[in-house]
Order: sequence, then structure tokens, then C-alpha cells
Amino acid sequence: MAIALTPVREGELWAGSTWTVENEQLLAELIARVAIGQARVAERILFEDDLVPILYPTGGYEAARNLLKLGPSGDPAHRDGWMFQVISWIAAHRAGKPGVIRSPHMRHADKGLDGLLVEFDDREVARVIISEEKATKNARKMVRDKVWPEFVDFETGRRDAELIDGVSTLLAGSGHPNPDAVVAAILWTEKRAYRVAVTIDDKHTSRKGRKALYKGYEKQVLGKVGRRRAETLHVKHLREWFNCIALKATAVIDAEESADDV
Amino acid sequence: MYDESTSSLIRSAPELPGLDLDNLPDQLSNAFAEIVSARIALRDAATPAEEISETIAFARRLAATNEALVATSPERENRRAAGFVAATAHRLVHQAEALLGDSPTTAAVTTDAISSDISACLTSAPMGQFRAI
Repeated sequence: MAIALTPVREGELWAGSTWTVENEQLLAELIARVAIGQARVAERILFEDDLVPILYPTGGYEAARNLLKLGPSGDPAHRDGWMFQVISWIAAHRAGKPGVIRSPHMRHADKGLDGLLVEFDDREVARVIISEEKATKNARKMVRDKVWPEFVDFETGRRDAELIDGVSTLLAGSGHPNPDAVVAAILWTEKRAYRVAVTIDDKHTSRKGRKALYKGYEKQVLGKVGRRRAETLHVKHLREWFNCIALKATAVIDAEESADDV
Repeated sequence: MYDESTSSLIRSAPELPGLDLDNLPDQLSNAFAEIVSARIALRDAATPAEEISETIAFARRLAATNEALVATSPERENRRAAGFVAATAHRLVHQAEALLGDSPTTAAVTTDAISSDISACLTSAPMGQFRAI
């Protein structure tokens, strides 16, 4: 298994999980698949919990390698941010709730909605999960100064235009039998929940640390605890670790390309 | 404010839980009137923000929902009505935001979103309004 999830909950304040990378090589392979533009293939691998030989559509290798390289500025933040969004997408699949998960962006970006999920409860009522996913060396500052204001913007409807775009695109590709009911639930009845996922260092690995990290969540997003999801991935040496996974994923892409040339 | 054919178009918009479609033409007219009176109140140094914030929230939800209904099912029978209601509601939001000074004064297009004034134009398209231009 590439990533394992351990549930955590802080009373009525928030609930979520901590992620542990169990198999770096498998994780790198999944990231490589997404980079090649095979999110669906990666999904299949995730569901079957094993690597299966599939006739992959070919091409896009150069673009895939570029996603795993640093941008022109040499700043690793955007590359690592993109990789973390893929990891978060894998974790969302791992959580195993019935629903639709938007495939990761195919570009390095620091604006807009990081992740989007539509989930269904046991009565088939939909809710949307707005997800902010940040690879950062300063988790608390990121959560307080960047993530909370973004959630507040969605809560007040200021970013409905992005939500309309995201939900419409997600539904159009999902083949859901009753898209009207999903749209009504999400945009009319405003069934919305939030999910914050960040990389953490040693400071936030304890219960006390996580409590400090997500302090104030319940004041930004009101209502029941289920509206406030909180995820963490502990990474000791952030930039080095992402670089190492990027190299492994690039090697997978190279191997895939040479196999394709035969 | 709306003539009979426009009113009946509005009444044929998609049904939503708790939304009184029969009353929707009046509700929209009243909302525009509310913004006008808020503008007058503002001139008299009163603060209109609270009074119209509920109207803005309602218009936002109405605009977003109808726009997404057309976007997800473009072939739907009531797309003209949904487009018209979305456009009207977007215009309401835009006017209210302009009044409160919350919105960018210029139209905005980003990689992820467009501002409510542009949405108001685009959601009018399914009604065939642009054909004559």
C-alpha cells in the first residue's frame, strides 16, 4: 500500500486522519501515472491495491517529466505542492467514501481550489468537500494565514464561481444518474464540508501539536464536526523527501518511455 | 416589473427545495427594489449592508444553482428559464456588490472563475438573447 491512513479526532473540533507513506516506490509509481496523464489508471491501481498490467495510452512523457522538475525560478514550492496534491488525491481514494474525486491538476499552480470531492451519505444525499492541500515548512502559518481565509471565502459564497466550475466539470465526467439532485444539494442547500491537508514536521506530530495546528478551525467553519476534516503527513526533511520521490517517479516515466519505444 | 411572458419564463425554472417558483418573479422584482432603496439609504448615511445581505445570499445561491444546472445538463428542457434566472440573479449580486463596494469595479476573468457581471451576460446566452446582435 502506498499510503496508510490512521483516523484522528479532536472532540467536536475536527476529525480526519494522519497519513503514513508505507511504500515510497509504489507512491512514486502512482505519481508518475498521474503525471503521464493516467489518473484513471492510477485509480485502478489504487482500487485493486496492486500493480496490474494495462494497455496504457502512450505519450506525454516530456510533459510528465516537467511536472516533476522545478520551475524556471528553481523554487521547489510549486513542484512539491503539485506532488502533495497528488498524494492527497491518493489519500482521498484511500479514505474509501462513496463519491467522486476530481483528478489532480496537470500543471503547477498556486491559485484556485486544490482538491474537490463529492461524497454521498447512506441516503445518497450529496455534499461537496472543498480541499486545501499544502506542502509547507511552516504548517501553522499556512493553515492560519492561507487556508482559513480561503474556507471563509467559500463559506460566504464569494468563490461560488469556482465551485460551479469545479462541480459542473466533475459531474459531467462522472456519469452520475441524477446530477440535478447533486447540484441542488451542493449549491442550493449548500451541503459543504472542508478538508485541510498539510505536511507537518516534528512539532505537530503529537495530539497537542495537531490541536495547536488546527486551532480556530471551528470558528472559521461553523457547524458539526463532520464539516471540518483535517489531514496531516509527517515529513522530516520536506524538500529533500519530495525531491527523492520526484526522482523515483521520473525513473518510472523513463522506464515506461523506453518500454514504449520497443 | 416583469411582463407576463417573462414572469412565466421565470416560473418555469428548475424546481428547488423550498423555492416558491410561482412567487419567484415577485421575489426578484422586490430584490431589485430593495437594492435601489438601499442605495437611497446609503445616500442618507444609513448602513444598508445588513438589510440586503440576506438578499445577496439568496441571489448567489439561485445564480450558482441555475448556472450549474445548465452547465451539467445543457440539453435540459428548461434551460432558457434556468439561464434567465441565473443571469437575473447574477445581475442582482453584481449590483448589490457594487453598492457595498465589495466587488472589483472591472470585469474579471481568472483561470478559475469569472466575475458576476460576465456570468450575467453568459448565462443569458441559452435564452437566445444574443442571436439578434
